[in-house]
Amino acid sequence: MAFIEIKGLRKTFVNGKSSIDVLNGIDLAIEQGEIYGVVGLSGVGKSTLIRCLNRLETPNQGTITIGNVDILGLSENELRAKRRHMGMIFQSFNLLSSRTAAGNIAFPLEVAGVPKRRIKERVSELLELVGLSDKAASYPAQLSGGQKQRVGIARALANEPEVLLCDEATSALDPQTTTSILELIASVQKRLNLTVLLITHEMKVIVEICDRVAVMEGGKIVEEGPVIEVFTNPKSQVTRGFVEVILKRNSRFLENGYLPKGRLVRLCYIGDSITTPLVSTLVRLFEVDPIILQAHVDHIKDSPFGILLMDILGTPDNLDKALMWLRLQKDLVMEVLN
Amino acid sequence: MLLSSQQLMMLKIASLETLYMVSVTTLLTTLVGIPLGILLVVTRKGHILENKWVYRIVGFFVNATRSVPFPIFIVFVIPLTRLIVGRSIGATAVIVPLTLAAFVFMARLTETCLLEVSPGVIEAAQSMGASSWRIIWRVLLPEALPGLIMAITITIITLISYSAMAGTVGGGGLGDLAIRYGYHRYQTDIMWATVILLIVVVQLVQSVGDGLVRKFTRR
Repeated sequence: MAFIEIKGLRKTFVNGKSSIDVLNGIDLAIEQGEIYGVVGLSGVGKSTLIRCLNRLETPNQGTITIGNVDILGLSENELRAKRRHMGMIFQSFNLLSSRTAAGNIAFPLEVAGVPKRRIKERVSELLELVGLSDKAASYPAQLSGGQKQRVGIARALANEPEVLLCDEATSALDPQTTTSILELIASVQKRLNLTVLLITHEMKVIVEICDRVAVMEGGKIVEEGPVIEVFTNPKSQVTRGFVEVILKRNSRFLENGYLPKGRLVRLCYIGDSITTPLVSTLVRLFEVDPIILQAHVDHIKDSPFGILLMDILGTPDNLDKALMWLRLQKDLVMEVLN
Repeated sequence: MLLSSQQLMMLKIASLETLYMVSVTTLLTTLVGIPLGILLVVTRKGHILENKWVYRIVGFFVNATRSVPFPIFIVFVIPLTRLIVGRSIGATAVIVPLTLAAFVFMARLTETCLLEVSPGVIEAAQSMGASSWRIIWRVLLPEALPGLIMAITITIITLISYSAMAGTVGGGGLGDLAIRYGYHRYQTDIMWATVILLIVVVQLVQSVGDGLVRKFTRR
């Protein structure tokens, strides 16, 4: 059984006479020690979903188990105890403005009844972990967005949680700060062997740190799997939309009605295939002339990933052989577009 | 213009009476009004201790109390005043209607302050497993502290002005002195002296309040 299991989760918001089904039967299984991302446009219910995990929101139907504990069956007291072992970080950081960075990190420790002396030690450990030792005495108003989120992360990790919930944790940050916060999440995840569930509307977040991804639409999960698989072979329209934002799969050439002279081919490399001298091999073995229209190399978490759009010219016979050869390559997904 | 030593004595006594009424009332008002304000916030829909009936009943009580004009209120609560302090006239007797009128005012001011505390911060505390009690003491009140200080300042100033009406039941105080001697007996010098004194006191209270608000504001 997976570490976090969600089954048949439903949530309806009633507002007077009208009601909205926000979650329409969600099933998810998240393994211990992985970073699991849920991506979707705003208003698809992903925020409601993550808030159900620590019962900030109570679902109408379904079950949630975390480490064999039935979350929805807990009493108020048991829930409070369980919440101490689940860290959560937020889009708007939600720090206490009346407390310093150190005071904010101390808060969950006070809640858990940790002795004062130990709190002091633990707070300085945590400040060091997030790289803010020099900001211990600063109030949130004196910190930048990225620093506030670092305090948020330190606070979430204070009681050594087994789960970290990230509710759009980087959505209020600029791209550079986003990257540094994601790196921090990834590094603490590794170091503490945390299970991380994050929700976001940015595919970039998924690509940079997630192991697996679920794509949400209309209160349902429409696609799910390892990030690289979902990425290289998106099945639903929404997923394709998200992937395209990152990869710009739609080349300007195609959008502007480029007329191919030979065979228009799009290649997706995954992992090691990226280091194969593909184009020169094609030229040498099959005497074809590839025109490169688009080339793009990136990383999905730690594995390299690339996309190449080519118009390949040559005799029909050579072209067929070349395409056949490409098809046989490992870790390469090929699409012929004409 | 100079005041006679007798007039100075009257001013001194009146000042002490005002000080007595306002300080005791402020203390009682704060002690009752802030908890009532907290109740009005936490029992609200969607808040940490949502309770429709408590919210409605407390809200109705506060509104009803605030609807009655203060001079009428003083008379209206005379039986209660007798019950609590044993008599219905004098400075101590005035403290009862003053407190009753002011703590509901304080409750509404407290409510406004606490509603300013971001729901996200409350939610974060909940996500850490904090109890409602701890959220009230360690989140709501500290976060709203500057606002609460401002609310207490406003209450004190309102009480100084309300205490002027204490004369109707023999409570004395500066306002009463201004009305009896300055207005009814045409002693304008006394009236001017009390008015100037009141202005100085109100300014002083306001600047101390503002100073404390600045000291505790971390935004």
